[in-house]
Amino acid sequence: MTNDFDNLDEFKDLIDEVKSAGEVPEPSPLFWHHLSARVREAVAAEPIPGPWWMMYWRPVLAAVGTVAVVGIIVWSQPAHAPALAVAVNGSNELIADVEVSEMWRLIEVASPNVPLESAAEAGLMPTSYATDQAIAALSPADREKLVRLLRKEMGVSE
Amino acid sequence: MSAAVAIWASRVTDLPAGIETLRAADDRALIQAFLAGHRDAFDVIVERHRRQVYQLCYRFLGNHEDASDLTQDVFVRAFKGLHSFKGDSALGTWLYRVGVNVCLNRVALKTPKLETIEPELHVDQRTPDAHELVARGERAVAVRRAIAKLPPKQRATLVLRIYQEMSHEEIATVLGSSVGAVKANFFHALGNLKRILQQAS
Repeated sequence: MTNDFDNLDEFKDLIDEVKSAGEVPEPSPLFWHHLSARVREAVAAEPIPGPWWMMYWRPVLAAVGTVAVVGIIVWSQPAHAPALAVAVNGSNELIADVEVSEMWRLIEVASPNVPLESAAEAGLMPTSYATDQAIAALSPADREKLVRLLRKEMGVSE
Repeated sequence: MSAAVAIWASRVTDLPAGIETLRAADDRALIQAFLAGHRDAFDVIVERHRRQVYQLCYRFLGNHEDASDLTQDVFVRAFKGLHSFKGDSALGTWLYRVGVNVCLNRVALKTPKLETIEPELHVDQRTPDAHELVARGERAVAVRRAIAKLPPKQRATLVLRIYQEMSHEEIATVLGSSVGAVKANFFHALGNLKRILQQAS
């Protein structure tokens, strides 16, 4: 029992009083017919909504279609996706950009003492596969330039 | 042939199910028929539940005019939202839920004008216990006014528990709250009611 009531009888009396006060006067029989007619009129212009799963078939179909299209595009890419080659294709611009990049200079300054193993563990090293791809994507002229640079670096005469 | 089978047959044959067939159908079959395109099925739903929805609205708002308008509003909302009814509860419970929301919204927007019963005008003063009847009538008006002053959730809980005789669990479903909250609201409602009535007297 709550603190508001001294005993159960008081509690029950209040409930009885509320009950007797809540009698709803019965409207005239005509009222029910009028009410139905009013509701019918109010919804007359409304279309009957379908079941919930039919309401959402369009957005669901659109989502499934989008996923399917993306899946087909990804799947139809060549197995050796030239992800890196895209950047390397215009190799001249890429090298030039890197040379003038302040960020690249910062990396150069910050990383001379970083061991190769640490860089590899951190995932910063390109994979040999990616290097192969980058070389494969070079034009014959660029590839010749690369060979010359490598020979020069290695001190091999042409 | 059962009502549900008759409705199904009418759907297959594309002939409207007779109103009498629909009247014999249960709520679930009526909903299916309605969602399949039978407007008459909704008419039967209105016919079947209009009294309880009206009484709920009347007990919230205390006058015929508002109760009548809101009952219409409840059924219009039900028409638009019936596709989302998944049958977890009885249709009547779902309609109560719609009804309570509509009533709470209305109460939040404007204080309804309670119908004041003038006991002297309705009681035959020549009867021996006329004065007692008058006193009882006045007390009923005071109780209705006190109920109207309760916070919305307490009021809804009180109406559903005492007048609609719903269980705590059903009320929790209708109000979208926990059973514990319903029980607490019910006791707070009665406590508040007692205080309001004491102040009034």
